[in-house]
Amino acid sequence: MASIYRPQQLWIDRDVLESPITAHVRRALPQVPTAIIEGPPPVVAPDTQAARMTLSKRHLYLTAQQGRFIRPCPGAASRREGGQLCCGYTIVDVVSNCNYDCTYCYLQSYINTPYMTVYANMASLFDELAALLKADPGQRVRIGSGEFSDSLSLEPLTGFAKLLVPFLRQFPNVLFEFKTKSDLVDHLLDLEPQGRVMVSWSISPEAVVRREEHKTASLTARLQAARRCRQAGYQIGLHFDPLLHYPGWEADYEGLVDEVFKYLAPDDITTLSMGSLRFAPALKPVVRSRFPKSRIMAAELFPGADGKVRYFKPLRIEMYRHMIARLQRYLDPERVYLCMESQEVWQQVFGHVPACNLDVERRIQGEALGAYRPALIPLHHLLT
Amino acid sequence: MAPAFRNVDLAEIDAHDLTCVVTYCPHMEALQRSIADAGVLTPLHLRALPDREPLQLVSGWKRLLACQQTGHKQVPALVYDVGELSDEAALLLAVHDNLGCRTLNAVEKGRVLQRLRERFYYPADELVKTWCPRLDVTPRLDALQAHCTLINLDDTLQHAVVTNALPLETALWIGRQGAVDRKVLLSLFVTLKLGQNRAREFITLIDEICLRDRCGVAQLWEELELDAILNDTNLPAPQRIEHLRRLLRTRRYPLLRAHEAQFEAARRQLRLPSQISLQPPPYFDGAQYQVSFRFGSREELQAYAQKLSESAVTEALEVLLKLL
Repeated sequence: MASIYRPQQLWIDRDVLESPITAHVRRALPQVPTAIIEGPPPVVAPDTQAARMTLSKRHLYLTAQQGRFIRPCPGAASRREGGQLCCGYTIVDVVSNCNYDCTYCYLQSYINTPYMTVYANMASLFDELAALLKADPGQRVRIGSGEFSDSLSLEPLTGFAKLLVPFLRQFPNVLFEFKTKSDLVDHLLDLEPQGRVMVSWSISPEAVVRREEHKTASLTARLQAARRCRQAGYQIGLHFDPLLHYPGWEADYEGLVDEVFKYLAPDDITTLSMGSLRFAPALKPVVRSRFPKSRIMAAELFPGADGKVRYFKPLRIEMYRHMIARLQRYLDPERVYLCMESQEVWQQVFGHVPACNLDVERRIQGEALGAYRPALIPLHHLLT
Repeated sequence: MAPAFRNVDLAEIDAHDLTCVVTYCPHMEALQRSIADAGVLTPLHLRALPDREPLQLVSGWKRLLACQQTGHKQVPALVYDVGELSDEAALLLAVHDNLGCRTLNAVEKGRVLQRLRERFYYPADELVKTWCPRLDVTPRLDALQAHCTLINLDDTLQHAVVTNALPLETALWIGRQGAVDRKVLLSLFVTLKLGQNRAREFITLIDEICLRDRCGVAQLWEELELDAILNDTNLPAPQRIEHLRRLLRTRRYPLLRAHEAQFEAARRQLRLPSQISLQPPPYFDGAQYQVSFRFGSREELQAYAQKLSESAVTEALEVLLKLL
């Protein structure tokens, strides 16, 4: 089972004292030292990003989101001609930072606060969501909270899903995704998602989970949780992401695919993505410092045109092809999409390229799209 | 009370008590000559300790050494009585006495910082904010840590840093390796006198190869027969460095290097004139090659266009396109 987070110190911004999220967290952490503050926590940030990230896991800060909750996925930064193909994903920034400790996690070079932040002003979030979803009811918006954190790892503390899932029932044009490496789904099972909510798992071979995904749930626990969520009416997503290249990866990933279908039928899975390890160059020294025994940074990794570091292209293509060959035993590979990959890689893996980012989105949503149009959310649709 | 000035017999001083001494690797020649000619012009600082006969040296270690080496029997000194100068004040006096007349080397800086931290419990943030700038150390926790770590390394590594044979970060990295690997690495970096950036590149290559292949540096050295290159005095240093670098890169990035080799072979087969440059996308991560050339006449342009047109139907081009 994934570890339940317990910070060493809880900081609560006075602005969110009355929030239901705050009340839930305080009930869940009665023994944790708590301070009511105005402004950011007085935690001295260490000089190095590695030390800052290690320290950040010990402090939990509840505050109000001052900017937008909702924005296009950062992958969209590469939505340009000849660049990476991206989907129409939209993200909700409810929690910033993660209590899990995956060696490869890009947040280690992205987040610079020495604490984890939960944005507890739910009323503002719901206003933003309502504005977005009412703006064009003919568009089906795919939106998720797992970009800057694990969507469910703090759920036992925050009770966020218990507020959100009922709220989403009024919007038939949404697919909200909780993306997780946890098995913390008990509280989701009686919420009646009515097709609006997907729970998705990043999955890796058990050897990778043990070696690189510290504090997360085992592969088996994740798949058992997925089956329970499916039975409770949730849509299910799977992300073979990040695919890691190491001696023996082929057999491990074949085993992973086979393991998935011991727990889920092909039709139980709504979306299925693949992405190879990728990160900003600044991540490498942080990983080497925080996880000196991890060998993931010693692979053949090079910066690409979008500035992100990835495996040497022939390796990526080989990995994707290998995965597709195995997945083909269970489902149509046209249901699989690549995350943040170039057109030439799509071409070499699938033999054809989606015409545009909307095409990627159509591929992801598949038949579930029905009469809706896929959405690429322009910024002017987002409440400011 | 002020210290008492007097000429002190060398025998009265405990020359082995280096409690307050931070000096490392001193240059003695000029001082020896000066003291031989003119004697000690600036008095030492000494202090009496309770329950101990010999006086403790507070500052002036080099002068004391020079006196011993030049056969002096006495030295002028300011002597503090028991209790007049605390342990902390004695160290600070020694540090300021040095800082007033010279720049401390990296080991000396490390000694100062380490003693303030461990002996007198100065907090890290005070050391970073106050003492690092005083010592001309970057005011960051990692720089403080680096200097404190340096003084626990082998003396050969400390000496190499002080004599500028090794950058500090290289020495720290070598210091983290096992004894056998340290010897190999020290020989590499000191022999080749790599600049900071090149040293970083070598460190990264070696570190990542050893991590990935689960081997030690000495083993890698043997497998790649790097000693022969390192000690090949017929080759100038820059060529040795480039040769070593190529071997390490090939081991570190075998797929990329294989691609590069195939690219080079196919490019040669195209027999393009040297004025036409053919470049793959960086790391072959892209869909297009780039061709560039300059021309100054219609004939030149026609000749290059003809050459490119001919290359478009070769098998070598097919090989090149498959590399993307």
